Amino acid sequence: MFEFIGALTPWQWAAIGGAAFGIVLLYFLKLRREPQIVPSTLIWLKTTEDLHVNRPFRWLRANILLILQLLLVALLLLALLRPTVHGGAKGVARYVILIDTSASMGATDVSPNRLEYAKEKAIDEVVDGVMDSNDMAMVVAFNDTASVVASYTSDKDRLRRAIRSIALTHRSTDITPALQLVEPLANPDTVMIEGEEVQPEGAVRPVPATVVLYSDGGFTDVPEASLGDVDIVFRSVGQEDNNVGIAALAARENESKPGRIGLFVRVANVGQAAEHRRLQLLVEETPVGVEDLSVPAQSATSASFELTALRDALVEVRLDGEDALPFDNVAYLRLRPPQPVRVALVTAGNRWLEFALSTSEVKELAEVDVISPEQLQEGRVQSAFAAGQYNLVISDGIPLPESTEANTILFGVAPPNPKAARLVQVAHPVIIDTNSSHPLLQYVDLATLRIVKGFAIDAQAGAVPLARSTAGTIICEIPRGYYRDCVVGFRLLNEEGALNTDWPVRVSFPVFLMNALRAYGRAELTGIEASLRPGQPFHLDQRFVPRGASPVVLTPRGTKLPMTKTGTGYVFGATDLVGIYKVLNGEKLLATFTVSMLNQDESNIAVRHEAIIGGREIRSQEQRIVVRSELWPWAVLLAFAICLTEWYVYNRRVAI
Amino acid sequence: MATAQQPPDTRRGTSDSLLSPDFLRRLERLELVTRKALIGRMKGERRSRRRGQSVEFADYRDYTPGDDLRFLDWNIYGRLDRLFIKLFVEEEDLHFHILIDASKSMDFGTPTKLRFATQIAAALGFVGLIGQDRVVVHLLGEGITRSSRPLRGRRSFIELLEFLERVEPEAEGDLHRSLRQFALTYRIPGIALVLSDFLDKQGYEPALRYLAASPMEVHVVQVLAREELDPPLLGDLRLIDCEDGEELPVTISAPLLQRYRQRLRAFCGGIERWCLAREMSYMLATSDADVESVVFDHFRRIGLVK
Repeated sequence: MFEFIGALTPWQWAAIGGAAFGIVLLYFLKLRREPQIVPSTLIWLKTTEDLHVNRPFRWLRANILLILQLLLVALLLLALLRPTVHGGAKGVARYVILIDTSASMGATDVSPNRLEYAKEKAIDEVVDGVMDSNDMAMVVAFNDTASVVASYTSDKDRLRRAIRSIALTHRSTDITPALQLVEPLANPDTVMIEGEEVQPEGAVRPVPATVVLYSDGGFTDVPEASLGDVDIVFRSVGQEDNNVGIAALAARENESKPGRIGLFVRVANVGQAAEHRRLQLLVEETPVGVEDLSVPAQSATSASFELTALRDALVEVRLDGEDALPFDNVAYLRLRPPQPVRVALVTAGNRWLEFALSTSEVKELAEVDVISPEQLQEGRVQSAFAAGQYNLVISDGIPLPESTEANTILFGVAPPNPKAARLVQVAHPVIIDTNSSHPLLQYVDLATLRIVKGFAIDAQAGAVPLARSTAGTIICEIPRGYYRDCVVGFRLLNEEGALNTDWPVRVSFPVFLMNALRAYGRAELTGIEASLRPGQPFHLDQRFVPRGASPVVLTPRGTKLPMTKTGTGYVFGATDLVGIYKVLNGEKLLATFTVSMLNQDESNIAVRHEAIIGGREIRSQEQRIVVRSELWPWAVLLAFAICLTEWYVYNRRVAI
Repeated sequence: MATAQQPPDTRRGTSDSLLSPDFLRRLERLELVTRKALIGRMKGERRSRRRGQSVEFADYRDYTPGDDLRFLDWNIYGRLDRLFIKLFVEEEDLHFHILIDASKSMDFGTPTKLRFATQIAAALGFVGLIGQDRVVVHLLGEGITRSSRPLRGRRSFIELLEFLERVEPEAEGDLHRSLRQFALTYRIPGIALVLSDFLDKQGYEPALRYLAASPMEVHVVQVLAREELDPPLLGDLRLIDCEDGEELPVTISAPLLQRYRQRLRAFCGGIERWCLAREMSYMLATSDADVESVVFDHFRRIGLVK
């Protein structure tokens, strides 16, 4: 019932303790009785004897001023501790209506669904219920993010409209962002300085707010949240917990059967009874497979399909049958043709290198442009380098322009940013150590490599040495913004065009280049594009969008929303719903992407009636929405009354 | 009976402060009255209950052999042929003891209680002297510390005044011892007027009990200062008894004062009831009371003077 929301530092406690001690000390020091000669103390003796015998709490009466002073200090201390009481008379109250809009709130176990039910309940209970005309409320919708739908207002119409405008998302639940939004209301005088909470002096605390949380409890407890004097009332929404949903969908190329793709589906049953459901596989909306599943209660089962490798297809798995949460019964996957890695080989002529990059394996992965030093000076090539049209640039001893926007493999030449590394010429370096765990050097054996002339690389901090020679670092990876430069500290050919090293004739050389294509060119053998999760942004590379186009996204709701331009392309963030999203430029389809829930936590629609937030256990249903009244003004008033009483007692000697 | 004469010479200064000439003139019209049987040693101007030889006829009684034949009423014998003896009112002097508590506690108040007591003593002493009564003033301290010579007659008034003017408060008082000593010493009936504050820690009862047992007609006047009835005290004080030096730490507040007044009233009421139960008169007087009104109103009312 009573709670203290103020806190005193040890120094403040010490000061108050000292004041009380001082009062006692001063009282007894002050008590020097004036001598007064009287004719006889006979009657006085009889008078005081009467008191000694008859009066209870005589000691109290004798020290009434001391008691009053100590009481005064105690009341002031009480006021500093800010006692509050739930209920009772209230002043202007503030409410924060927190409404969960996560996927599980779309469960239809209450009509029409949990979110709509929660919205109407919030309007009934808070806006049309406990709120007086002077009270204020704000509305916050949250899933794994939180947003203020209506800031503090006492306009009930506005609040109703705001609450009704809240839409369901298929995102996961995380109450922490919502609490972080509410926390400034709880601790408005707290600022974060270097990761630590600091309370500026002289900050005034606001009216304590009551947070009314409408959720099915599908969030994890946040015992560490700092809620201060914010009161939380929890209203759990929902009844059932029976639901079957697709928890995972993955595809992998079948290594033993080239050209076949294995599709793995995991179906979870979060209900209390076993379920029998049919799982359908659709490719481009055409059913291609069916599997009947029996999912035990509170368990999961797996299913797998095999597909012929498809160059470009939308794969959908769907659970037939009705349950409380429809949108976890579908999941998507997209198969794409692999995107070739665009490689620029800058060389004055190196048949070894050109040969190594013209193998069938490389051709499957990459498109290689050979660029001569003269072509490199052309504006077209320079702008292609600067526009990031190449994923990987391999330089055979030719310095690259600083504006190169690509990962690079550099044989015997400084990186595009010359300050990043200094090359010191050395003769006959012998490689003594390689970092074979690095993706570039996997299965690359450099132990017996022979090099005529080489360079020791003196790289900046942050560089990763990949191979060390007797003369120093000889292969090194140097970060450059978003890109990485791999500097190989020797050239393949000398000035006369003869081999400077025997590496090109070794097996490790094409292996190194394949590693470079995979690691630096991000080449993938299969084009399986996983579905996005609700809320994950979709990126569309610049090169897929015609110049001057303004792509829009057709959402599963049927609305068209614009994409946001970024440095490297376009991004779309409103992926709140499960389904197929189409990127259009006018009527032309530019791309398709999908959003699947694939979240067993959200599929679990079990309703939780208690939660721990900020160290408090909050229970649904038991709590009434009450206003917490602060009692400190009463304590101060009482202290003032005691002050007056003391003055009266001192002047009138009303007590003994 | 007092006869109208000129008041005594009161120009000796002392009388100015004790009694005014005008007051003395008024006092001359008064005389002491006693309800008890009196046995004076000298013939006085007082009617005795004993039949005596005054000129004032009192009663008749039958003649018995041995009676003085001079008191036979021959006229009655002539008419009734029976012998009757004429009885006359005996006139004798009255022993009037004035006992003044001269303990240090009496030296308190404005004017002091002792001053008031001496004024009362002077006034009543004067009444006694002009009534040819035998007036003795006793000062009570740790016993009877001083007593005046038995005084009689108007001319002794100066001596009385001189005695009273020399009264100084004693260090400590012992009422019990003083009255015991008095009761044992003076066995002849008379009037005893006790002027005291009775603030004796041994209590007033044992002391007054000696007087109650004596043949005296006792009049008690309790003198208290105005400051004792309504003490102008407040706050944290250390009360010091002026006689025995006893200290009492006390925080005086309005309720305590109220309680003090109740206690004092109860104390005075106790003395009064005690006295009345033993045929003693009692009067509570404040030291600033008007002596004339006390004498003319109170003492007349209780029948000490008429």
